[in-house]
Amino acid sequence: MSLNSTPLKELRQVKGDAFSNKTITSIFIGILVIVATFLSLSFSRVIEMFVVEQRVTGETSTFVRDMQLTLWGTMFILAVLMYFFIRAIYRHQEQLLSKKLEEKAMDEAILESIGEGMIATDGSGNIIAINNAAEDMLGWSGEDIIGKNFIDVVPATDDSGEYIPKEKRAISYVLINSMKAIPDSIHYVAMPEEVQYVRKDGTHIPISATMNPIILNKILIGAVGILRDVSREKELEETRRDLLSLASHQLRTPLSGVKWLIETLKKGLKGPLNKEQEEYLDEIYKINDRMNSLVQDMLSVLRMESGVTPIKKDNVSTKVIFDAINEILGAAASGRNITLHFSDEHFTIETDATFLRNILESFVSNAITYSPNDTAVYISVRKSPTELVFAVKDSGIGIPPDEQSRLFERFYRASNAKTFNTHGTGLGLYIAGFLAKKIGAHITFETEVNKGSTFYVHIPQH
Amino acid sequence: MNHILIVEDEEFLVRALKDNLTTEKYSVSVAMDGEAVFDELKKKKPDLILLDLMLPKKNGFDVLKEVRQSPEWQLIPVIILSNLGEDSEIKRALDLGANDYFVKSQHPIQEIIEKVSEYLKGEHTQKLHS
Repeated sequence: MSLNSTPLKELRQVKGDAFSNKTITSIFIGILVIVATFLSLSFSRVIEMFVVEQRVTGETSTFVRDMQLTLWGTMFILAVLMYFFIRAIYRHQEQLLSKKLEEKAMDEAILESIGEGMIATDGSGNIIAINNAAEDMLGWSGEDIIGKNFIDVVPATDDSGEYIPKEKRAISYVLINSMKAIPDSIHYVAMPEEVQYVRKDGTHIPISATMNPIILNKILIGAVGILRDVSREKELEETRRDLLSLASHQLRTPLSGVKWLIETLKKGLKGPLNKEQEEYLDEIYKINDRMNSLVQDMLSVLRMESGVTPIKKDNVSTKVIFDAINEILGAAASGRNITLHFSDEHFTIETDATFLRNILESFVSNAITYSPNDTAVYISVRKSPTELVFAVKDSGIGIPPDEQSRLFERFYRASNAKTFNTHGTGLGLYIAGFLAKKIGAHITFETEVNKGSTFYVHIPQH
Repeated sequence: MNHILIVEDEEFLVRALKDNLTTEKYSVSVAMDGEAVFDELKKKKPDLILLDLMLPKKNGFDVLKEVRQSPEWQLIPVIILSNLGEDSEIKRALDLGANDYFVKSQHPIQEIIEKVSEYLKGEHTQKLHS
């Protein structure tokens, strides 16, 4: 496989390589000549001295002849040694080169066999290599794109069509921040981006890319990007979203119908009701509400699992979250004479407010459900150097030790929970655990049967 | 007397809404698909529209868009009553010019009736499609 016909297109010039063999040989011969010249000059001086001495003493000396013989003999031996030396170096070079070509051929074969696109750039972001898959994805041929700056030539937009500024592109981040990281640590700075790349013909292609720095001897020499075409995934996502919408609507509609029709009857709009009729209606209403909660939870799970809801990151005050929880669950708590105590100290936290609130709602709702009447639930937050920890403490039924490991499983309900309250869906903690993972938080708990439980959610803060 | 247009394709929901609204002494007309809406609008101009989003023939979003684009109807308060609950869908409806949004299965009907009377009393500023 010659370099000219490789599927992997790259710049032919490789800077700072070893000198060619011709150059080495020429240099050695040059040195030899210079040394020989100097030697013979020195020897000429010495010979002159002996010629003069000979003239003076009148004796014929074989010294000059001997010297000349020795000189030429030494030079001959040196030349032979040089020859073998140079030949050995030359052969070694050839071996290295053929090994290098072999490895290169293998790498190229591997790169071409993977379905992903690959581009490599130098330290300024100019493209130095690209494989076939990337050429197809970007709509550029290797010859046309090599040498050009990646960001200039392949702009990116988000899903709504808004262009992503150059400094926000993954490759910019990698090329700039890797330089910062090098002095102290071998800190690997890889950056993903999930965007729409604009192809040469102006069409868009959804790409999931990861950019990595190329570091050699602690110097950043470029970046390499792996590109994945996610068109199919996006289509599937859309189909799921539509399906979810439809399921959501179809399940909720009959439930809302029953709800409203019973409410209408109970208002007396269709005539007065006797006590028993009212009681029956109340029962039907409660059953319907249970179904409603179940559908609500199941749709949440479906939505979460299909990744339909994107995570937002905002600065949010813990007070706002506590107030929301009080508003939503206050009535349920007071209905059983359970007091909700919220801690006073408040902080600002950077996270998805809705997800965090949902997790805490789940905890507080459980605390209320599984506590006896006339008790209290304590909701607090404290700050540590690395995280913010929310706690929800109750004096309820607790969780038996042998059931604690299954607590966050889908549909799992502890045995004492089932006897205490027959209605739960078993999805609350499953959803909470899922949401926590999504926002990079984790959940812990302490519990004692018939004494109570405290659930914690830990949010890392930088 | 205030007149309300109910746009909803489910019979039993129409019934519940109608009965509750007429008790409050409002007059009511009903459209059960996305095209009938405009027939009803032309017959009698309502003071408020209750709009479902999943409708046959033309969906609620498109109806909303057209209503907000028409000079005659763009100032009428529109309350969305839907069972689609995604944030994105709610946002889309509000961006298109809806004044309020209720997920039917999550609110007692009384809440809706009270919100209707608030809007009719003019307690909320009119929202114009931007």
